Amino acid sequence: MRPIAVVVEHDGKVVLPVTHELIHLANLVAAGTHSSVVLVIPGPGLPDMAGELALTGIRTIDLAITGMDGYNGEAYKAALSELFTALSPSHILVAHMAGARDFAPGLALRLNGTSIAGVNNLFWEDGQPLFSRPVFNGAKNALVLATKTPCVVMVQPNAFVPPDLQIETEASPVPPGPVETVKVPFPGNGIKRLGIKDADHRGDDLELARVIVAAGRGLGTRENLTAIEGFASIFSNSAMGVSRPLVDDGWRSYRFQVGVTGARVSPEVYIACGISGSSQHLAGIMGSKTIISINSDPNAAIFNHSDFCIVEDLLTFINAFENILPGSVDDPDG
Amino acid sequence: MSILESMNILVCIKQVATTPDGNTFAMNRFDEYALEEAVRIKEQLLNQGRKAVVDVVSLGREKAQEIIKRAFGIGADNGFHIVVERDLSAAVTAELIYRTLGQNLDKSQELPPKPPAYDLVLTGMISQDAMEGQTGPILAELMGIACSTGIVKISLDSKTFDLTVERELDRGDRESLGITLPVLLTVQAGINTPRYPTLSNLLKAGTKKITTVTVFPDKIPGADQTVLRFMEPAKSRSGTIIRGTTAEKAVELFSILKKRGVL
Repeated sequence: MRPIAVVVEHDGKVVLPVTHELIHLANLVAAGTHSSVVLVIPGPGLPDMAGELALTGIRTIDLAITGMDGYNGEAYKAALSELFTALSPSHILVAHMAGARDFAPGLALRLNGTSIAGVNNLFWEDGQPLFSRPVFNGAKNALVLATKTPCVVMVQPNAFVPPDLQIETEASPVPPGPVETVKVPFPGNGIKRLGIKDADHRGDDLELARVIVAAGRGLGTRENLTAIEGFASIFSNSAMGVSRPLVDDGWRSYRFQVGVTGARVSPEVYIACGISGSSQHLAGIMGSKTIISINSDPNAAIFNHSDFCIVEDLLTFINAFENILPGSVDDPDG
Repeated sequence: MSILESMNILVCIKQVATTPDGNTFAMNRFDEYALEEAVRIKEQLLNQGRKAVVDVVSLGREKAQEIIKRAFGIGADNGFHIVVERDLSAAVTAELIYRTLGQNLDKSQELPPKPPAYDLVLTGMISQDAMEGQTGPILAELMGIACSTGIVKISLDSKTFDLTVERELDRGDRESLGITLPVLLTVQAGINTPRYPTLSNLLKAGTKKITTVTVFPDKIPGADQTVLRFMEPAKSRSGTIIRGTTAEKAVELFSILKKRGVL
């Protein structure tokens, strides 16, 4: 049987946790198709990392790309396509992150296969693995059948968290998998890495707040942010956040941004106002104890990831809420 | 370093539904940023006595010509509309764009030996509806040019035509890249503030002709993947719906927040 390949996600020094999610998915696909798993570590040559991963008992290939300075999408594409032409895997699992975003679609084409983006679940029909991915901003999932092989599966981080995160210890009965080194030269291309700079100041006050009231595109106009600020100020130790599109449009600065590329928050209560619920936003708020969503669209994806759902026009609802507060004119006890 | 007489820029744009009922359409938000960036590069070059041409291409239904007209209003020079009446995978979309711009629509023939001659190809990082981010990187692979994704800053040296760009990484960090053309870049939202079409451009747009190519179903390449059906996403939390009048919902929320000790 053709193997299931995992492209190991790492930062050059350590294996990133998402790699174990890829291995978990690879094991599921391999079990259903009676095939084996092979781990591939693209990089400058990382023998220690290969040795560490082989402790999982899985065959591991240290894919040493010579002549590559840091990550280079073209180098990954060239080296991986050469290796996979020889290995002939049926599925190639990659993390849908900044790296694979560059190289995975082109890699699939070079191998005359297909690539499925944003994969969040695995299904089986007639002994065949099928993958789902979100569409319409997460409001629906599309169930996708690959009709060419290999199938490059671009896996959404956090979608396949293994049930037991314990890494195999010395006591493990599993003998280490074989380690091989494959060297591929990269002649260089028109893209040269010049350096990396850290993100601007992220929202520290967001990360400390007990209550976060966050606004998304459902807010309509920039002026309506005043209403959200007012809503947030009702709570002590609270902060206002916004979803990425509002930062992109310049309504608020980056330090207000909640989500995977902004602040990852874990307040007592997160109130999402007019936020549709993209996977990038959800990844930043999943640590919240209670999530309450207010949205006029009953099909908004955020409702699938909320504890309490309120289908209402945002401003009308905030106004109604403020009117029942103690001390307000409509205070039932006042 | 490349010495070019004129810079030929292509922007791939897509029309997407923007409301839950699917009745309102607009240019994909990410493509608006890509188009704005292309027009700014053109303006920079024209200001310095260099030449630049911005072409736009869109694959989609009849209605998609609306966004090509809008692109004329923003500053695009030529428009190509590849008319298909159904949704296609990213790979098939990229292949049809490639064939059209290489003027070879017969799927029985080999891909055109000479790829479409663009120095810079820009498109949005993802589309709002399909959210894949694949059409750009696949088109780059077909054209045999380098590709970089999630670009948040582009600076052009108008003498050498070399680019310095910033690419967004997973946690919002940025990687700086030096690039020699040709290249395809996919643009992240927030890179600029897209302009509205100007009246003078819209008047000129009326005289610009869209090159329309209709692709009949038998000329569409075989699909690499198929969407079997749409499903409801799994719930990660209970999703209790608060019911009643607006005031009743407000009272219920008040008691939920009170119980959690935040009021």
